[in-house]
Amino acid sequence: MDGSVTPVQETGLAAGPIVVEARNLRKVFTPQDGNPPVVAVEDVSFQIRRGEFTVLLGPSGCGKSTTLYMIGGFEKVSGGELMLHGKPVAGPGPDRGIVFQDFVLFPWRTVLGNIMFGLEMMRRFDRAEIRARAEHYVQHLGLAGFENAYPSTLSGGMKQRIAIARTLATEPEFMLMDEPFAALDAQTRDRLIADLSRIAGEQNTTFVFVTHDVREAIRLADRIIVFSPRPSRVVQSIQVTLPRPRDSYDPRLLEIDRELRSLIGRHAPDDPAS
Amino acid sequence: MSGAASMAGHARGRWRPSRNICIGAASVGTVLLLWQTMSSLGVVPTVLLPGPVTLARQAVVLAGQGGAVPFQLEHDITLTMVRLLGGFACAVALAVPLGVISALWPPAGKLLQPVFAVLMAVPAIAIVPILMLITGIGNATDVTVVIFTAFVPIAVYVHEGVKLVDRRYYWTARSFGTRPVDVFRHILLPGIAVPLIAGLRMGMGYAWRSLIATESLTALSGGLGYSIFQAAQFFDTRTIYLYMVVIALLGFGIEALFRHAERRTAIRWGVIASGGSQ
Ligand SMILES: Nc1ncnc2c1ncn2[C@@H]1O[C@H](COP(=O)(O)OP(=O)(O)O)[C@@H](O)[C@H]1O
Ligand SMILES: [Mg+2]
Repeated sequence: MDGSVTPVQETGLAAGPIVVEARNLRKVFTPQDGNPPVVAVEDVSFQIRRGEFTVLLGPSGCGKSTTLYMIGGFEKVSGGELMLHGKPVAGPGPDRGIVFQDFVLFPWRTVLGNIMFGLEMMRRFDRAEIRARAEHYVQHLGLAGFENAYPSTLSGGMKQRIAIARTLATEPEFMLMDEPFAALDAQTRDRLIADLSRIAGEQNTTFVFVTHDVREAIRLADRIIVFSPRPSRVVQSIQVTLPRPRDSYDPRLLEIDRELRSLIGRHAPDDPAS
Repeated sequence: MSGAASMAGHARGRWRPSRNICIGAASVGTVLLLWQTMSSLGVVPTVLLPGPVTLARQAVVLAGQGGAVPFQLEHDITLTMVRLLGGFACAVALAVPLGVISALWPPAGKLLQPVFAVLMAVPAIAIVPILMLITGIGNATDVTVVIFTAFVPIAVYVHEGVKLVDRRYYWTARSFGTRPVDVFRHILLPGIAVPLIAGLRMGMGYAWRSLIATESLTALSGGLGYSIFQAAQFFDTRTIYLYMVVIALLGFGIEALFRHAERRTAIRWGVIASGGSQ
């Protein structure tokens, strides 16, 4: 990357310690039905630092979700290394919360019931404490008044707020988010980006956020890890130091936007030179 | 009658029984009135079509007799319901674990799925002759038929239900450190509630029909199905009609329980639409 663009930097200045590191990470799905294996993640290397809002950016089908699910411990690693605090990821854990594009709320639980779920499963707090913590995130995500509604009665934006609150409520070290705003209309997405950006600033959490939307990535990220189309590799890892809250029409943001688009457009995994 | 129910319905923002109950009562009332009129006017000979009033009298007669007449309504109801509920409980106890295991553990699935498929194709009444030879013409055959007929749909629906639970529910649960016993209770059970209730409803419907038919064939057993056929031997049409009404009412009551369970789950959760006629 050309060093002349000031808001984009190759290396972190006040970066925290590395908490997740992928080295030549690879994932191959072997279907049960005799179809040929699918290489979902070819050869991916990157680092995630504590407290950094990290965005995995790349075109559809390049293996972003699969990478995120491997960090979550939901999918097994097929090759290379994926280290969490210096140790290989071994299954899911309460340190890593997950948010999906299509919410995956529990339809049999009310809004408050969904948000209390993780706290109940931890078996660490009594009923009153669980309620109080859940209520806090109800307020925080703007869900007040809907506590006793069932998710099916609410809009997509509200559902995603519930899912985010459900995950935040247990205060995990990592928030893994898989295109959480991709299914929402532009206006709702805009508000949620702003709210998430605010929440991320208040929280100690390390966010790992998957998207194919360049603008969304720039508005949210401290660091953007750019994936190439399949076979997936990491093209570039860049830092975004624009002040928050970020405005989509900020000329500096548009500048990064243009640069990222040309980078992705080149489709040349190992050739970032201009 | 329905004012309070209607308000409660509104307050909870769920179904509103008052209107449906009124319409239902009106249509049942109309049928009864037409029936009685036809009977009173002698459109059909009374012996072939006794009116509702006659049946009500007959009910009082049969219910009041402690064994003085050949038909003892209360006793028959008790016999049939005990068989139905006892057999159904056994079926549930067998079908739910087998359905879950066959869905979660591939070797069991490979073994059990063909069995379910074959059993699905066998009408209950086809196994009655051999059951009568093995277990006799009494209680055991009736109860076995209930277990057999209820088992199949419950096991199949549970199997399919478990397979359809989104694996990301499990992921989400595990990302909160959920223990296996809690995954079972808080993810799997509610996750299959809708197909489970559908399977229970279907199993109960099959079992109910098969039980009445089987009772008529098992001469030592008694019960509603036995007595209604006995009444036919005596050309006792009043008793036949009375038992028909009782069987219909019991069937309706059982259905109502399942509809209630559906309202408490699928419809409240918005997983399936409520439909107009609930
Ligand atoms: N469970 C799976 N089985 C087989 N192929 C899969 C599976 N999950 C993902 N893939 C394939 O792997 C590739 C990468 O998928 P994914 O990680 O979802 O990409 P992205 O999230 O970047 O759109 C796609 O070609 C997809 O079809
Ligand atoms: Mg994806």
